[in-house]
This record gives sequence, structure tokens and C-alpha cells, in this order.
Amino acid sequence: MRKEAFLLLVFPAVAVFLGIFVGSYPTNPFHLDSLGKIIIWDIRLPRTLMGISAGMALGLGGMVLQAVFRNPLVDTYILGVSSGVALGAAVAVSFLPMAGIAPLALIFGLLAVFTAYSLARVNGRVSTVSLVLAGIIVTSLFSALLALLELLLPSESLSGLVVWLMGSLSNATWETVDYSLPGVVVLAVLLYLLRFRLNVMSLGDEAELLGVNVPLWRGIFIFISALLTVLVISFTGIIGWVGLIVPHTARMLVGPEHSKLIPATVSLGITVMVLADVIVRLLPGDVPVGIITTVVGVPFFAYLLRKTGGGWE
Amino acid sequence: MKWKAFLVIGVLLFSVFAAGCVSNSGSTEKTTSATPKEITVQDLVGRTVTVKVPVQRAVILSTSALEIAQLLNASNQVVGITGDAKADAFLSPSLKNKTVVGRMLQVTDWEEVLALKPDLMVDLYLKKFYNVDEFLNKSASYGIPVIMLREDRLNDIPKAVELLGKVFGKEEKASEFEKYFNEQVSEVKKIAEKIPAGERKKVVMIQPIMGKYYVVNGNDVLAQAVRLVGADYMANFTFNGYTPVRVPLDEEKIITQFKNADVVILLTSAVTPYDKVEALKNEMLNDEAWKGIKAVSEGNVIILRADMGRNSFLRWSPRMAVGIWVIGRAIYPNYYPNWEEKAVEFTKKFYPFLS
Repeated sequence: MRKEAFLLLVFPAVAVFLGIFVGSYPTNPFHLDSLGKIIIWDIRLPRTLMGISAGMALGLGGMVLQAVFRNPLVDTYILGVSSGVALGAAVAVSFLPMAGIAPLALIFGLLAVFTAYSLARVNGRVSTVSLVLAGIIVTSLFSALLALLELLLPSESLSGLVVWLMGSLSNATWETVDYSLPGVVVLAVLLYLLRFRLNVMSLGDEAELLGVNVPLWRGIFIFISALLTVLVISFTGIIGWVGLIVPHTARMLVGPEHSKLIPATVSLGITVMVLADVIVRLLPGDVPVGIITTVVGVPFFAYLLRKTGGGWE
Repeated sequence: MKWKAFLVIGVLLFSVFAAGCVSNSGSTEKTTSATPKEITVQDLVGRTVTVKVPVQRAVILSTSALEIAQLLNASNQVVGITGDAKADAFLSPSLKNKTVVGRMLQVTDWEEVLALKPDLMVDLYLKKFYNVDEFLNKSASYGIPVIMLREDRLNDIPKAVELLGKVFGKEEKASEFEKYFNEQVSEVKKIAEKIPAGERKKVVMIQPIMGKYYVVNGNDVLAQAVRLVGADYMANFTFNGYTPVRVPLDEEKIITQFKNADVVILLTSAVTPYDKVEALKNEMLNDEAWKGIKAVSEGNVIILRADMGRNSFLRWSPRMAVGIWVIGRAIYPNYYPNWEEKAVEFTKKFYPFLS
């Protein structure tokens, strides 16, 4: 266990070191020129911090839903949050360019989750199946509206939107970090404080026998999960698969108990996101980081599906 | 009983006649009355195309080709356009009101195309953008000849005008433009030759779109214009044999690769208005990292219009006759005259409805 704890500290530390010192401009940590220092401070540090924010938020968001749904194959996108963010971005580009993409993406992302939750709530209760189905309905509706808007966009904005939606950390600035990271850290701390409640929720409806108001706490955790996700993807675009692979790997390493699972998910989330962005920096052009996480995530998901059969072990 | 049968037959015949009128309602266009003859031409990608000239009912799927048709005074020989033509400020309202059959180089409604009974279709040969082969096979199956243009080179512009002039029966106007365009190019070349080797500037162009930076690649017509006016264009990217016209790069890569640039040109686009590009320019000039580029630290960041608007001359189309002057003036203000006069002359000559 000590070895695992050590590794969970070392992995993100190494990733952050690489995030700060690896890029197209040569930056030797022992011999930094003035431009190198500026590039680290103005470009790489915000980018790495946004990677930290994204890794924590997407990993924890997935972890919470996996506990609430008692299913290892779900992440926050199942609630329609990604289609909401995408539609918000398209609305911003088409009708409100001066409003900026992030605010509208954030509003529409939360609207999608709220709609899915409201649709799924029958007689004051929200079952896992109804929530997943409501997520599918909302995703389909928002995707159709997005497709309709795309028909109206000129070619440059359409290709720009497609690239934005693939997710990237290259747009990160101190301003976007200021909007995203503090909120993510607060929610991560809140989740850690609620770790025992999460443990109980992962028992499913049996939690009610222990006196827990399951519908209420399910709603609270779904909202936290959605908020974590939109706090990141409203700024970065949609980064796929992190919410799926990170919590599952963390669970394989430290087990399902949330006092260990939460720090492990944070550690692995930071490592995966920051390293994926380092890979992007070493590739030619400006490859969206969402492509890297997807390329790594899809085989891992296939492996999980084969191993677990889609259920909770 | 008989009169009832006659009445029914009469109503039926009238219905058929009316339906025919309705189905053709979108295609009633004034056409020129020259006697058609069949000619064979080579389009800009080397395909041999046989077409009856002068073309009377063209469906044009590219906005730049539409600008050419308008320049040739052949607007009334066009019957179908794509939706993005509506945003092109160089096109007259009458041309924008033609039947829309698709969007962005592609037909989305073949039924509408067939209803228009076109005798020619014109499009761009851009395989990365849409399925060109499928489009050619489909139009061939309907017996509609297709002329393909390409936007690869500056000298493709007069070639395209010449070709469309031939098929629309507007050779005279086409040769007038060719002469004008070639004169502009020779004048610019003469000025470029006067620029001493020591004063040649290194230039890079960046088009910001939705927060991303797209560097104009060396094969783009705008980069060719930069070289034409006597400067060195810095970006030349090829990925596994493929050379895109725009390359997305992050800020650090741009600073690292173009830190020796003497001039940075920021371009507007259909989605990035002038004020947004201006905001980026101000951000660059006040940002220490961006100042890692020589041009930025010296304040040589220039905004040029490359959108669909009225004062934008940096798109592959006849407007590049002015565009080369715009670029020359931006890079070498001491050598090139103000381009506004050229713009007035050009619009008066070829797009009178704009002036």
C-alpha cells in the first residue's frame, strides 16, 4: 500500500515536471533563457494547471457517477452534458459571438443535465435506468439542434467548431485557470468530505435501509459530477474517456473505498491529462488532446467491456 | 354522361399542365439568345469537358466561381447556387436570390438541381472537403457536364476567368479581366524587383478561428502573394506528403518557429470579425511571450481582411487583383502605394454595383 501511495504521488509530480519543461521551445531547467522563462510562466504553466483541473474534474466526475450508478462503464457524458456544451458553443458562434463560447457552453451543459434529471424524475424518484434513458433523449435532442445550427454556419466556423469540440488545452490562459481550477478543487474537497456518503451510495437502493435519502443524495452527486465536468469542458472543449478510464484504473489500484479512491483518481487524472498534453506538444501542428485521450481510452474501454461484461464486479 | 367525362379529362389535363408549371417555377430565368454550339474544353484540373455554349443554365457551387460569373456579366446564365453565397458581399442580390441547391461546394438537393435543368455545373476540386468522385459520377449519370476549378495558384484566377468566359460566351469581358490582372501582377513584380535583398522581410500570416491559431501555409495563394510582392514567406509544412493550406499551431509552436519574423499578418475570417482580431493583436503586443517574435516586439503586427465582406480582397477570386496590392502595402509601405485607389478602380471596372 505504501508503494502504491508513493507511486500516486510520484506519477503526477513527474507529469507536472514534464508539463512545465517539455514543449517546442527548448527549456533546460538548469539553463533557462528569458524567453524560456516567459513561455513557462505565460503558456506552459496555465496549460499544465488546466490539465490538472481537467484530470481532477473529469476523473472525479466519472468516479462519482460510477459509484451512484454502481456501473463502471459510465461517465458524466451519459447525462448529455457534452451535447449541451457543444450546443452552447455552437449557439455562441452562430448568434452571440460577443458573449464568448465558455459562458454559453457552461449554461447549456448544466441545462442538459438538469433536463435529463427532470425527465428521469418520476414520483420523486430517479432510477439508474430512467436517468440513462433521459440522458440519451437529451443527447439526441441537443445533437439534432447542434446539427441544425451547423447547417447555418459558414465553412470556417464549422471546421473551427469541430476542432474546438475535440478538446484542447492549448487555449488555456491564467484567466481560464482562474475560472476552472478553484471550483474544481473546492468540489474535490467537498467530495472527499462526503466520501462516506459516497461509499453508502455505492450500495445502491440498499443505502435506504441505512437511513440515507437516496433520491436526494443521488441528485446532489449528479449535480456535483455535472458541475465538475462543465467547469472544464466549457473552456477546453470535449475531452473524452478520461472520466471512464481514470476512476476504473484507480479502483483497480486501491479498491472501491472512497477515502482512498478519491486521492487515487485525482492523482491518475492529473497524470493522464498532463501527459496527454505533453504528447500533443511533441506532435506537429495543434492536435486536440481529446484525440489522444480517445485513442488511449477506446482500447481500454474495450478491454473493460470484455473483462466486466458491462456490469459491476 | 359524355360531358362529365370530357370535364374530368379536361380537369386532369389542366392538373398535369399546372403541375408542370409548378415544377418549373423555380427555373424560369432569362437566358441569352445566342445559338448554342458544342465545344470541348479542359478544366483547371485537366479534365476534358464537352459543353454546349453559351451555357444558359449553370449551377455554380463555389462562391469564387460565382464572383467570376458576375464579373463576366453572366449572372442571368446562373440558375443555382449554394447557401454560403448569401454571405458573399461581392455578389449582387439578384445572384444571391437564385435557387439554393446545397452548401459549401456540395449539392444537398439533387432533385432541385434536376428541376433547374442545368446545362453545366461548376465546382472546386477539393477532395479533402467533399466526395468529388461521387459528385462527378452523379452529375455524369444525369448527363450534366461539370467544370472543376482549383484555388491552388494565383495564376489559376485568370485561367478560371478565361475558361468560364469561354463557356458563358463572354470571352471579351474575360480577356479584359485577364489583361487587367496580368498588368497588376507585372506592376507588383516591378516594384518587388526594386526591393534590395537586405530589405526582404520574413512574413507569417495567422488566421485566428474560435480561439485557435491557423497559420497560412506556404502553398496558399496568400503566401504566393507575399512572395510576389518581394518578401519571404516563412511557413512551409508538409505532413506525410500532404500540404494543407492552413496549419493549426499553438502559441508556443508559433513563437518557436517564427521568432525571426519581421512582419506578422493577422487575418479576419468568415467567423472572426475585425474587432476580435484587433483584440488578439492588442493581446499579442502586450504579452511578453508573444514578444518572443521579433515582429511583435517591434510592433509589426498588421490586420488584413480575409472574410466575405465588402473591403476584403484576400480570397482566391478576381478580388486578388487588389489583394496583391493590399499585401504589398502591408509589408512594404514605403514601396507600395495605397491600395484603396486600386480597389475603387477594380470595383468600378468589374463589380459596378458595388461602387
